[in-house]
Amino acid sequence: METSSLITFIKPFVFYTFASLAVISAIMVIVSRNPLNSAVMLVLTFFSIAAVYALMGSEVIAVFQILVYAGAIMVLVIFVIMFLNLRPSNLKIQFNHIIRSGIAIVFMLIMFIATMSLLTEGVPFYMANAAKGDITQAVLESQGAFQLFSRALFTEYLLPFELTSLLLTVAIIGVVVLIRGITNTVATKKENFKTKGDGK
Amino acid sequence: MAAGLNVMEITQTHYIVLSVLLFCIGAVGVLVRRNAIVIFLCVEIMLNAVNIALVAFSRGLDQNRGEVFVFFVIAVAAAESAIGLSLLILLYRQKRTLDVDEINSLKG
Repeated sequence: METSSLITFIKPFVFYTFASLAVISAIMVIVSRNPLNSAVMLVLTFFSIAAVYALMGSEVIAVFQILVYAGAIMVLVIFVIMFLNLRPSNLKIQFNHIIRSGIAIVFMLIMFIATMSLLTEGVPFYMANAAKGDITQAVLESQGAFQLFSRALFTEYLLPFELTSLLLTVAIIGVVVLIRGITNTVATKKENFKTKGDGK
Repeated sequence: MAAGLNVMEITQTHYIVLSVLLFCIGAVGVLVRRNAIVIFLCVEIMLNAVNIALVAFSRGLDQNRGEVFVFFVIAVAAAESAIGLSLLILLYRQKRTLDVDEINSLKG
């Protein structure tokens, strides 16, 4: 009883901390000039979002978020940025294109209006009429999030799960095919260089 | 139900507001930035915002279908980032730039 009241007491503070951290670092992603800074700020965003998932009670997605997004994808992005070695000269934000700036301002307005309307109305008016499932918070705590998630994934969603493996295989083959062109040209260049050198 | 929001009680509305904010930040970033890598990162922010909304509604409706869907979204995002980043590397080798205003060879 003592711990549950403590959790309800600190939950808002944890949520506001990580939500504001996510929003601020997402803004830092789009305002920082260096792409490497953007990538590091995006890692911070992903970690904050993982904390928000854990707060929502879906630990599975929090773990996947940290493993796949903050781990695998961001390592790939940072590697690519380091390979490309971009100069931060022409990387500033440009508002000169009028259509793009117009759409961006419309999105900012949507952001403001949606936030205000949600803060005054709230989502529950929509959720009240919807059909509820049987995985309540009590079931989740008694059976464990991972068990329920895995059971749904391997029974009801088995075909999409297998198709995901097919998708990842196609992605791997696609990357290999794309990169093979580069290695072939490098090999031909080396070969040309060698024959020229031999000719001299 | 139309009463004002209680600040000290975290409901689904809070998560949806966070999702809206992140999605719009990502969309604005896609529109105002001209670097292809930063545009890619902003698309990732938008995907994450949608994932937050999916998990929030899934928890609010006492289901875990939304979470399973988020799993598939993460798998597709991983495949997309692998293909997209290798395409960016190839593009940089061809054009020596990642500024999307200068990459306009498909313009009719």
